[in-house]
Amino acid sequence: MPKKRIRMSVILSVLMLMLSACGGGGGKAPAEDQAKAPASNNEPPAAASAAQYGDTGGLKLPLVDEPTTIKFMLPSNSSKIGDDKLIVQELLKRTGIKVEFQTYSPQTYQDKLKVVVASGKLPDIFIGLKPAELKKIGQQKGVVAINEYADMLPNFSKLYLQENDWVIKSYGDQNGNIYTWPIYDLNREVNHGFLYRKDIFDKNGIKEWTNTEEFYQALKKLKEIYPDSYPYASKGLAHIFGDWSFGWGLGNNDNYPAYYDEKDGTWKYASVQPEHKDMLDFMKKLYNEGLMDPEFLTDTQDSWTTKMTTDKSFVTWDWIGRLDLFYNQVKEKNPDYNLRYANPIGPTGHVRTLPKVSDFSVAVANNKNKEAALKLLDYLTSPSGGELMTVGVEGVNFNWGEDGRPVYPELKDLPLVDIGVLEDRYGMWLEGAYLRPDKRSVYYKFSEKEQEAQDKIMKEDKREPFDPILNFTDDEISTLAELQTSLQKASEEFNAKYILDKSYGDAQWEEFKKSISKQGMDELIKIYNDAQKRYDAAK
Amino acid sequence: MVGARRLSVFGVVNALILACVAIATLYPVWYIAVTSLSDTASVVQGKVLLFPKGFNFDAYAEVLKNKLIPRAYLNSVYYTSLGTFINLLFTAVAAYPLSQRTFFGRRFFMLAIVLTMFLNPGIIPTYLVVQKLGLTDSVWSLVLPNAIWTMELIILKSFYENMSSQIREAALIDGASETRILFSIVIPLSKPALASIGLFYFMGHWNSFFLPLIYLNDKDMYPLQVVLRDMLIFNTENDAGLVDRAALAPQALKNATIVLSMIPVLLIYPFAQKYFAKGVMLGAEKG
Amino acid sequence: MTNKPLKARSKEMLKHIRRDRELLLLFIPCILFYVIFRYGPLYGLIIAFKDYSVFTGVLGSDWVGLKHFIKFFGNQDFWMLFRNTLLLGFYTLVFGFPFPILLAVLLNEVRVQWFKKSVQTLSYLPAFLSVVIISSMIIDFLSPTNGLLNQLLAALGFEKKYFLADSGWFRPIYVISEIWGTVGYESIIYLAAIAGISPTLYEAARVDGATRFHMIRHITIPGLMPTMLIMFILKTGSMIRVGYEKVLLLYNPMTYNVADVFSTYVYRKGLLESNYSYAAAVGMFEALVAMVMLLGANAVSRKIGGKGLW
Repeated sequence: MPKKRIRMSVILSVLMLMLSACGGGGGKAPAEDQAKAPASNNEPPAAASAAQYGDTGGLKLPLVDEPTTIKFMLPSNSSKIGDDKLIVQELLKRTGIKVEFQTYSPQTYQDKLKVVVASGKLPDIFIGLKPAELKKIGQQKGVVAINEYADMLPNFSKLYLQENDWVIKSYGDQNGNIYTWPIYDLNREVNHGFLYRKDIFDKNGIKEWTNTEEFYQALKKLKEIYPDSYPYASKGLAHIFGDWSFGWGLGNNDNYPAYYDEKDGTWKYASVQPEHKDMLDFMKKLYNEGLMDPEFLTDTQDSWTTKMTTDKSFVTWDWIGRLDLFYNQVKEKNPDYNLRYANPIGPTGHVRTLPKVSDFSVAVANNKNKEAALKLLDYLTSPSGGELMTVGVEGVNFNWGEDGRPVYPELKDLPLVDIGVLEDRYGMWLEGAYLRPDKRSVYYKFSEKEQEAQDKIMKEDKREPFDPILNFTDDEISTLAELQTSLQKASEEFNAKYILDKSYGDAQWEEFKKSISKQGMDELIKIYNDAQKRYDAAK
Repeated sequence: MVGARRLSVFGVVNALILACVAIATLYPVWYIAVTSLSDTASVVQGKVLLFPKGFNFDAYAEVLKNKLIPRAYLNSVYYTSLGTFINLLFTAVAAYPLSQRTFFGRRFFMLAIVLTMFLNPGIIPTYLVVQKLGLTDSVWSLVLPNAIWTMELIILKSFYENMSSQIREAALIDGASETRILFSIVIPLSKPALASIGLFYFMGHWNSFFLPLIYLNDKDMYPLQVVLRDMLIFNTENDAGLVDRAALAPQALKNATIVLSMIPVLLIYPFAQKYFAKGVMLGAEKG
Repeated sequence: MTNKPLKARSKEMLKHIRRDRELLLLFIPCILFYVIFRYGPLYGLIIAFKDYSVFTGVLGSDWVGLKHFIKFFGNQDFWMLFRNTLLLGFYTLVFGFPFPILLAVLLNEVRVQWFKKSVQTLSYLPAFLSVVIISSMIIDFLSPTNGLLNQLLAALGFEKKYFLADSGWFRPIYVISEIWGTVGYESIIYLAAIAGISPTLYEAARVDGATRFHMIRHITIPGLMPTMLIMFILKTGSMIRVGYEKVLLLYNPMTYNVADVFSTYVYRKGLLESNYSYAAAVGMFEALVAMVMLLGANAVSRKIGGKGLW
């Protein structure tokens, strides 16, 4: 019996071995047949002039004299960005560089990156290390200090040394060296905000609010008409405090609860400000009157989706893409469903500002390919490269439509042509490679709903001024991480209890302010202000 | 057996308790299967409870459209069978000397082995060792570094120890070698234990997706779990909000991938279940 | 330990080795495995005493001695985290331990084969669900507005309750869901052990007119004793290793004070700063505690059942 079983297993395994060996050698997964290779274009690259490919910012194409391969590691959901993809072929044609994109799924990208870096063989270009870690590696000469090569990088120089010199102050290190290649003007102006069911509001004669009090009244009216509902639902868990804080003047993208007060040029801690208490009081009122979903702190995405699509809730806060996403999910059953972007609430009525220049930690390894890699990145930062990466190749995969937006004939049957589709088909919009997105790309083509949102906010620019991005020393980062972890937890704890627990009131607020000070809040804020002073001084 | 025909109180109560256990463990999976066969709108609106609404196989068609799936299935079957086989081979052999009370160095070996349960240096050093051995990008990186799970080794060793020593002694007197005893007597008599740790090893391989992602670079070599997870992101929230893919994958699709990864194991399971049945150990008297 | 001269003792040792040579030969693959794949990477543990950078590697990074440990022990939340971690692990162990055994015993008593096999298979199903899925289900199940549990309570006339926001309920929720998720999976070991009990013992007892309870008490349970002891020792050793995923998905600001454990703390800190070394230091501390617990459990087991792990 056992011998037989062992034998059986051996035979089985050998069979499997042979099967996979056969499978591997013979029929490899057929290459993506959708991206047709550009039929024409047989001119030698040497003849390519700047004029043919658009504005290269002064770079001479091709970028290299001999065939060069550059390995570019980045996260992507697409299965394989191989040689058959339009972008890869076009880059080879224009720059003479063959780019080998090594893509990994975003969920495990960080772990894969760790392991790749640890094994000692850094890819030529890679993204994703934490800024502090990257700076350390840069100082150990593992990656290139990009500023040192500025004279051969016209686009980088123009954008980041001349026009936006704060970039080096924020993203570089103490010595003025910058190891990450920034991304220019990626963000849309409006990306998150309050969303409301316009169809329900209209049906019941409720007007969209223009301030906090009207917001409250609207929710109250909804509750009267729909007593079993909880008009406001949330899926942001404890992020709700940070998300709403912009409306009370206390917001900050990455450092919340620490924020920069423009009025006196110092950093403060949001969780102990009087405005914060006002915000909590407002939330508490909503909660106690049954206007806010009782499980707003723990609701799952699926559960929240159900509420928002079945008339159990009518107002929420989320990413702007949700307007169309929800609609598409229920339009068959409920064609009147109409989710729209709403006015912000809070005394300032502001929303967050997204940075003009982003940092994805795009780094260049300090190896023999570094100059080619740098030039490649510089090309991608030029208008020509930006257009290639985010719009495509005119006449090959797109044509200009009447509205000034690209139209992709091969994709005309798809319900939605978004950057995900473009990434899959052509290798466009790869994270970390779109260094200068072209504003004519579909990403910036606003649907009617998104356009309405843009107008609402931008007409009077209801955006909170952008807080400076500070530069911390290693020790500061260490202390910050230590303090921030505990302080943020304590703040969230207090916020939650204040709202959910009826017995919490002014006395607890005073007590909280004292205790969080003892836990190290003052030390934290001091670090921020010290870094701010350095920032101001380094003009 | 006592009360084989009669309905004893004990029997009824027992059946009720077990039925509750069965329902409690079944319902969530049932719900997943049912929603995978329903239309998105009904699922999203929470209208699906016990039976599919808007019955359709769309989700499955969508998943199976992915050309990587058939290959990934084969890969998983291959890695899992090879892996489990190696696991059982190594574990069954290693547990034998450890189970002999007079084995030279037994205490020392046990201590050294148990110690490894606590000392976990993390993914990077292990990766570097595997890489230095040249095992990356091959099935061996998935199968050798985890050839033995200490917990399973200890369980099996304990099993061996509880077996009667009379048979072994008799065999030794007859001049049998230890190897012969191991493969002709001990292992056959340990079928229940081997089946149960075999199942644990099996599930470990079948469900694994992190290690393949780390050790394999060729996407054609990816096992099923990796490909399925790549298709959907369950819970990532991209704050820059470029593309919120998680929202694009309807629940039916997510759940279809879960069901598809469960089916092969459920098919094998009854086969292994046979070995937990009583009476397999006829003749193995406790000395 | 007789005081034989060295030469005699080593001669004895050699004799011992020669006698066991076949066993040693059989054992070699195991030795190789542990040396290469378990002890080989252990040098990586020293990053707990260094400021590890992935780039400079384990050997190249700066030595900082006990810096991370001091920071860890000095953290204002240390004792709270320690207590939470230990308690969560302890309750899971103590309350979770009997159930797989109970399930195995009850299943064993079922005469109707198809029922027995079906229940056993069904009880195993949760092993297929990832921790993310299970946590989502738990949250939905306990929803204060329309979760199944609260709907049931309301139907029975009770008030609805927001369980997940009540720190008193966090540990029970965690432990119960752990039990639910693992009872079928773990009962398999015990079922296999029961299968190893000689049927003649049951036969003899039946002939003597024993009741089912009697047989369970005097045959099944003692037959399971060795397995139970081993499992208990092993589980005690892993008690302190409370993983971060499930807690992270189930906790919220209202339950931080009982739910935050070492692993979730390290996780949150790791989001702000690359902290391999710090994480390694915490891991070492956990390993130390685990070792102590295992040795303790081993000693207790020897007292009760006369056997330990070695």
